[in-house]
Amino acid sequence: MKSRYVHEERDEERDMARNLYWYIPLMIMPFLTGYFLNEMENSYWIYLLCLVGVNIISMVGMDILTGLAGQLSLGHASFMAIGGYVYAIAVNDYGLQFLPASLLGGISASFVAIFLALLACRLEYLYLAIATMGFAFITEEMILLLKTVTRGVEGMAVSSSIRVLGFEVTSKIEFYYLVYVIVILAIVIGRRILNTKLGRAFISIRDSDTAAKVLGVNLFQYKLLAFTIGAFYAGVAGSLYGITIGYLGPSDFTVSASIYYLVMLVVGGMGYIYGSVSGAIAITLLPEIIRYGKDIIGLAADIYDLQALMYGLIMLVFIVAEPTGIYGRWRKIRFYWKAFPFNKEQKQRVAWIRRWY
Amino acid sequence: MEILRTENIELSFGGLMALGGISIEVEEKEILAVVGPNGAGKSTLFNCINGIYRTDRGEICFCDENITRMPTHRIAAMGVGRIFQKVELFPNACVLENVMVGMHTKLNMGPLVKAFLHGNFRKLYQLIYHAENEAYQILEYLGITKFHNSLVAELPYGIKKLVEIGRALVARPKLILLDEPAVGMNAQEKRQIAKLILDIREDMGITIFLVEHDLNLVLSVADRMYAMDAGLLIASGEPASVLKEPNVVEAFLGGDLNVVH
Repeated sequence: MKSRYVHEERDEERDMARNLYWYIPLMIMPFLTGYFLNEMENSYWIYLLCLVGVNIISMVGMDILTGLAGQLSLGHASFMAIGGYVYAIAVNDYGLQFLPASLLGGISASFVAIFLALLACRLEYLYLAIATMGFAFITEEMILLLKTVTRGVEGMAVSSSIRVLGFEVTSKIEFYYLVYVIVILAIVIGRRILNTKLGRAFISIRDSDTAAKVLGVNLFQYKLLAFTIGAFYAGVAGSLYGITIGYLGPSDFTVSASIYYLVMLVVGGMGYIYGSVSGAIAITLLPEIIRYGKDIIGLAADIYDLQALMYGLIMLVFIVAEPTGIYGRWRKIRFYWKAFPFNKEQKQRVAWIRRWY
Repeated sequence: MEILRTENIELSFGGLMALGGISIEVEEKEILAVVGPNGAGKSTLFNCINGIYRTDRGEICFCDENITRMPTHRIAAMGVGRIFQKVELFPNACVLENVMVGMHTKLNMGPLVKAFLHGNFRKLYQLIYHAENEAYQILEYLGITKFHNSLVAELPYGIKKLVEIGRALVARPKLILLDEPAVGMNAQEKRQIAKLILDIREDMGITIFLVEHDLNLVLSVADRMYAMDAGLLIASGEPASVLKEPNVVEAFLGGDLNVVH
């Protein structure tokens, strides 16, 4: 085959496109924030940001499952519940350490997800959503029914002092650092999946499954993989959730919690990992924003009513005005600026036009 | 040597007979065309070869292997490429990514792990960018490198068609099933497509099996031709002679010409 392909030129272009130095400050930022919050002894915000981190981990999993592979899931909170409960039982009853217990949580969540996927991988869109919702109802009931293991409605206390690779994590800020190390790991792995054969196969399944099949993608296998990976993330997030809150109960993992995760995904933007991260940050911090905003405006409404109203409103606004979410909007802005003032070719063209008109 | 052979394949949807015993043979490195009016079962035949539809009876052999009951992705891995009539690209991914999906069957973890364990990082680097490089080479071959970073949804139709051809070519298949490549194109684009079809056979040695309505295109590229009507083969042979056969004329122009006049 004839080709005028020049390897070096292409490499240079590739390096230009992926400037990696932005990632370093972004990675350091959460740790700096934690450090300053600790100095200010603001333990509420440390707790809140831990929750943000947990939601980010969970959302990266959901983005892989729903955003990349296109398998709409309304049972994501149930995967978290499985992970969280397995972790809590492993730690409380069997005395496992943090790492093996949370890994066990993740693995058991993906194990359950495989069974769900075996049933669900022939379904699409609305039917899949309803099937996963059925799974969420079943999990909710199972937590109540298996009283001897899960303590039923009472829930379980989860100890916040843990041992990780020989380090004692006792204070909140140490746990905060641990969460954000896992968050960065989760995002990096998620982004890595996006740029490999696996991620491209997921995208092909989402966009056109006939074309995916014809190109050699084993639909069954890859749908199963999407469920497995998504549920693993959720399981790990579930175990961290238990530690953050200090308690696990059936009321944390209802269907409405799953819908809350779906809101995060839609608001953040599907399919780019960063979108789900921004969605997790925005929606988890929304109650705080509402609280401060309410004080400023001087509204006397109940915070919970306002919260529910705002979720609905934000979801509606995003669906109508910006279906690609926060990250989609950010991409548009970036393309806009790249295309006009910072593009050499475009600049010359504009200069040329200005000279004549 | 024949690369693809179907023996009496039959398929019906409910009571409707879509294919009624089609037997065709595709020789290696030839350009074979199938023509026929709408609803003759040409695309259905392609879907059967691809494994998207399962035949009721009959046998399909590709490279001396029976693929009649094989799942679609394994048929693709054996080297059957497909280009759809309606563009079936992935609209939310860029052109390069779309073409890279075509490399799916050619990529595996084995060499990567091996290079990593042997500490051959130069090789590892090459392997990591292998799919991207291959895809870029194909885009260069098709002359659409300047679109490599743009979203497929934003592209004009002709470029989309080329991207789809590139996506099928990147895995270097043995056989390409080309479903109406020139539909919705102007005269110049049709000439380009004809040249491209001949070039692909010349440069990569790929057998091309195409369905086309545009008889000029078929006459200019095809070595051999089949004509189909209502799920049956009605003629085969040299393109020019097939088009002269009375039953082919009847199928295309609708009944006895003398009655119309």
